[in-house]
Formats: sequence, structure tokens, C-alpha cells
Amino acid sequence: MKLRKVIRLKLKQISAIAGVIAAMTLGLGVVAPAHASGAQEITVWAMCSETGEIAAAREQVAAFNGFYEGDYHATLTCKSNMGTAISTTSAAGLPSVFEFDGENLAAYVYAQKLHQLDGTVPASVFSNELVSIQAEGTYKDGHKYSVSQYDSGLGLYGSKKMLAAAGIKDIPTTWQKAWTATRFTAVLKALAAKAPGKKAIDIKENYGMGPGWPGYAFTPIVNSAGYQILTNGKAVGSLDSAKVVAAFKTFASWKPYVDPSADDKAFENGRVGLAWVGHWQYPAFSAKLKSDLVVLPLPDFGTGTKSGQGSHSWAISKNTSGDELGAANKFLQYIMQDQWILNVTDKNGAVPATKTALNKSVNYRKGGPLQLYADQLAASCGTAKPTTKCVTVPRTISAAWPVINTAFGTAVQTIWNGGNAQTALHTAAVTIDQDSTDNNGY
Amino acid sequence: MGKTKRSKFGQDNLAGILMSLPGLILLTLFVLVPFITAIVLSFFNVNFNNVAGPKFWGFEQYRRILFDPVTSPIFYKALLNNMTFALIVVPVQTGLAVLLAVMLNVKLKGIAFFRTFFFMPVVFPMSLVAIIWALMFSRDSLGMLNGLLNLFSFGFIQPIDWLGDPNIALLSIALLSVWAGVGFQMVIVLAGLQEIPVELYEAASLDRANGWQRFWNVTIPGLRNTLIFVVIITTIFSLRLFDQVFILTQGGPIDATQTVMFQAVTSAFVEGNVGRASAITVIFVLIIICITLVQRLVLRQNREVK
Repeated sequence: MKLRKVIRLKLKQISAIAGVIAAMTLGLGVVAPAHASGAQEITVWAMCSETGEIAAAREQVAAFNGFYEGDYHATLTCKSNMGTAISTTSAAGLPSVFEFDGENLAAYVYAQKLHQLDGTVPASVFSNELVSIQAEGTYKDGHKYSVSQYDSGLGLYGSKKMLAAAGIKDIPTTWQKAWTATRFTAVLKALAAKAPGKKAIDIKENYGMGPGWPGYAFTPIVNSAGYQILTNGKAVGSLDSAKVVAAFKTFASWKPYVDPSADDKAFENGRVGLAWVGHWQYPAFSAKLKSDLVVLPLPDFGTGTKSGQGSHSWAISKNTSGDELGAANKFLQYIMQDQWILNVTDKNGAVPATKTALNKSVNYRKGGPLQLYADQLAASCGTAKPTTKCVTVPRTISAAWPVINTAFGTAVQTIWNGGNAQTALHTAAVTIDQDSTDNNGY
Repeated sequence: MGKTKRSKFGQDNLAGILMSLPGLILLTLFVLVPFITAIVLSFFNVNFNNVAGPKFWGFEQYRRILFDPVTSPIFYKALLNNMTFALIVVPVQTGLAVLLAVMLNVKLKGIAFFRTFFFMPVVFPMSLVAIIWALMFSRDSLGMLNGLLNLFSFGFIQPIDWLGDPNIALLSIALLSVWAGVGFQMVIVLAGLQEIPVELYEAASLDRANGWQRFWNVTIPGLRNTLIFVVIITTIFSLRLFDQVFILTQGGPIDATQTVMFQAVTSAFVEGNVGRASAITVIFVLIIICITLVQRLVLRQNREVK
């Protein structure tokens, strides 16, 4: 008897407490902080991958809110893992505007999470973008789904002193003059002979030779051999073609000359004379090597030097409409102004994505130290078959990219660790094609 | 007496049910429901990014994982790796834990410092441990392990590619896992050691048993229940191998460190292939249940009340 009384009493207390908590939560929901009344609200998700980018994101959102005081108000959220956040959120749950890794454009369009931009965002914004950026933001239906504030630059960095000490005089400074793969092997041999640790190059092995880094850094090898990963939607016959296999065999033969760079500083600390990495290392390298630093194109495996492109992009989510869409549109136009592009690229070292901003950039304009990146991007191959006349190739614009990235990365890791190049690339190609079939070619 | 006969469903039963209700609800929500969802999803072709929606595939996911000549080898390799890893880690980690516990089961001043010291690796998140070990495993002479080996062998041992050599990669991961986990087992064994009555040791000394004989005839039998528990949980933990692989080797090189959990997670969250990932986890749970049942049959815990 007593126990039943005790339980009833406890239940009464518990329900009382629960009732109070419920009331408080509801109350809090109602009494939300009010902004300038009448202002159209938009939600913004940014990637904030680096300290500089966090500051830049906050600054441009604050400036937007100040400029459009009373009309629009943007609330910024930094997402530490944007990829997972977007793939696990339904279209309805996405914010008005968000930043994402450009390689996922096709996947997000396919998942119906992105709003078509041409027709909403003025054409002048797109025409001012670099050719490479326009390619990055275009889906296979020909429509634009993203804008970008910056692009990436990939190439070789060299130490003039170490190259000279190894007797290398033919240093290419324009992409047209890139070393051939054969010449490059000889360069590595010569550098290694004179280097303190008997290594010649840092290819950022510490970033991981599995899925991830190779998808950006070493897909240019496939392109430079004359192929895209997919030809007519098929990887078999393209990724595993004889020329690509040969190119990767050459790549694997360089392993004895590569410093694993576990401390990430092989080039910076002078252990090697070359580094195969992108624009993000420029600030650190130029601070350390100063005038000794030289920027070079990647080696040519037969169809001219090729390089990577693509970085973060901005889009409007599919379900945004009406006044919210108008506000989101104004937000994108606002951040695509030169001032805000340069604000972020000054902090993260990336290539400004518009022609006007590029010309104002100290590093990237004509005569600037990183002009090579700008020239390479201006000669983007887009989605066409690579030729000797174009340089940068976007990561395959397909909803299958995550699978391609994983399969390709695994193949590179296998090849790098002594596996058979033909088998590895063929396995990757078969995996990619089977996934495509499972999803009806996306 | 009459009262209890009348109300079979008495107060005690009601109280018992109410008390276990929160636990049961949580178990249902977080274990049972996801598991049933996984079973259901494993019969579909469903992808995060595919707006066409799930397609009923029957046993196709299972066929691909277990029988398809193209896609099943990687699952079997992962399973083999998991078993190899468990077979290395369980005896080594348990043995090391017993050794450490025996050494630390002394009442010296300051012994607490050493116990804490050996337990500390358990506290660090595995992701942190893996990143530090990446530096230690570096394949050139600058890597800590290579440097030490080179030093102690007077230059005889050349740098080893710890994570890049397909024959060594899994062993390297095992080494790091043992280092990170042994403290946990050590603490459990230590508690078990302190349960063994001192009189047994005294009796053994009276019978002129030396240290080694005391260890085999008093300590180990006394630790029987503890050791069984430690072996079972170490086996289960080692079958969950994921963090180290994800950070250090991504399943490579040449699938040398591929594990079932890594397969499941990459299928689901990298490739968005939820159906395949669900099927993998269902198969794996069945395998783990079998292993646990076998272990329990073979290693009957001594349930006598002393």
C-alpha cells in the first residue's frame, strides 16, 4: 500500500516538474530576440574551415546586415563538417544560403537540394566569374547552381637554390613550358643526389594517400595522360586506359625520391627542393623562402600539363522561395563583390574567383608571384576532353563524385604502396561503373 | 500469504517494471529500433543522395557482400583482418595487462602514480592517439620508431614503412591499439587480483611454492572470472576497429587494414549507400553473436559463491 502511495506521489511531482519545463520551453520559444522588425530573415551556413575564413564569414555577414538594415537580416552558423551536415539534412531543413565544397555540386543538384541560380542571380555576376568557376558551377543540364568567391591553385613550388645546386637550369615559369614526366624524373634524381636527406620532393603524403587528397592532387595525372576519369559516363576504358596506367607507373617510380613529410614541413624546412601542393601553402612557403621560392606547373604526362581547380562554392537551397529567395539572392550578390572576395582570399590565400577581383589581387594579377595559377585557371578544360591547349580540369561533375573519389584514392594508395597499377585502376573503374549502373547513371 | 496468492501481479512486479522502464525505453530507442531499421534497410537499395527513393532489392545487398565475385572479396578481407587483429590483440593485450597488474599490485608509496601513468593512454581519444602515432610511424628515418630502431641496432635496421607495407600495416595498428587499450584491462585485472584472498598465497608459500608456481596455481585460477570477462570485452572492442584505420590508413594499403566497421561507415557516410552499410552491420552482428556464444560456452565463468 505504502509503495503505491509513494509512486503516485512521485508521479505527481514528476509531472509537475515536466509541466513547468514544458511551459518554460514554449515561453522561451515565443519570447525570441527580435531583430529590426519587418526585416526578411535568411539563414546562412558557412564552412569556416580556417581561422581566417571564420573571420571573413563573420565580417561579410555583419556588413550585409548593416548595409541592408531593416530590409534583410542574415544569421550565420559555422558548420565544422559541412559535407555530413548537408548530406544528412533534407532539402526542407537546409538554410536559405550555404557554402559547400564545390566537388559536391552535382551530388547536391541530383539530391534536389540546390536552387537553380541563372534567372535569379544576374548574368553579370556569372560573366565576371573566372572561366573555371563558371565551369564548376554548371550542372550537366547547362544551368548554374552555385557561385564561388575563390578558386584553388595547384602546382609545384621550388627552391631556386636547391634547383641550382642540382644543376637544373630549365625551370619552367609558364604552363606551356612544363617539364615532361621523363625530364621530371631526371630532375628528381638530380635533386635527391644533392639534398641533405636524399629526397627530392614533398607531395604531402601526410595528407593521406587514400581517398581525399589524391582526388584533387593526382587526378591531373589522369588528365595529363589525355583522359578524364569518365568518358561518356564510363570509367572502364578511360581511367584504366594504357596511357593512364603508364603515367601512374611513372608516378609510383618516384617514391624513393619522396619525403613522407610526416611533420608537414619537408619543403619548408629545406629537406627537399620541390613541393607538389596548392595555394594554401603559399603564405607559409613565401614567408620561409622569400625570394628563393618559385612557382612551377605540374609535369606533363603526354597531353600537356594539367592541374586542379575548384574550392568552396555558395548556393541557395531548393526550398527557398518568395521574399526569402530575394534576400538570399541579394546576399550572394553582396558577397560576390570584389571587396568581400578579396577580404577572404587575403586571409586564405586562394585565387579570387572574379576577373575584376583577380586584377586587384597583389598575388594573382599579371606580374604577381602566383600569376601561374590564374593563367592555368583561365585555360580551364571544363568538361571537355583534355588537350594540350587547356590546363585545369574540374573534379568530375557528377553525383557519383564521392564514389569516384573513394575508388580513385584507394587505387592511388594501392599503386603508391607497390600494387599493380593496371589492376588497381581497373578495380576502381569497375567500382565506379557499377555504382553508376545501380543509380541508373544518375 | 493469502494476499500474495491473490495478486500475482503485486507491488514488487509493478515497482520492478517502473524502475526498469527508463532503461528499457532507452535500449529500445537506441538499440532495438536502429537494429530493426538496419535489417529493413538492408533489403533495399537506398542512397542518401538518391531522390528516386528506396528500391526493394530483396537479398541483393547480401548477395553482393557475400557472393558477388567483384564486390565480396573486400568484405572477406575485412573480416579476415578483423579476426587477425582480434587474434593478435586479445592475447597480447590481456597478457600485458596481467603482467602490468601483477607488477603494480604492490603496496609501495607512490604506486598510484605508476597506475595512473599506465592508464593514461586509455583516456586519450583514439583520434588523438592515431595522429601522434602517425608521426611515430613515419616511413623515413625521421619517424620516431625508425629512429629508435636505427639507434639501438647501430644502423643495422633500415627504416620500415610501418603503415605503407601491406604485410606490416595491420601489425602497426595492432601495436598502437594495444598501447592505447592495455591500461583499461590492467585496471580490471588489478581489481580482480585484489579479490584473491591473501591466505591462498600464504598457504602456497607454506607449501614451498616459488613465485612462478604461485602465479600459475593461485593467481591465474583466482583471476579466472576476471580474465574471461577481459577476453570477451577485448574481443568485442577489437572487432569494432575503426578510428585508427580511418585516420591512419583508410583501409589500405591494398586492403591490408580494411575492417568491417570501416566498410560499413564508408559505405554509409562517404558513398551514401545506406542499404549496403545496413546489410554489412546485420551480418557483422550475427557473426559477433556467434563468437560471443562460442566464447561463453568454452569459457564457462565460475559462478560458485565462495
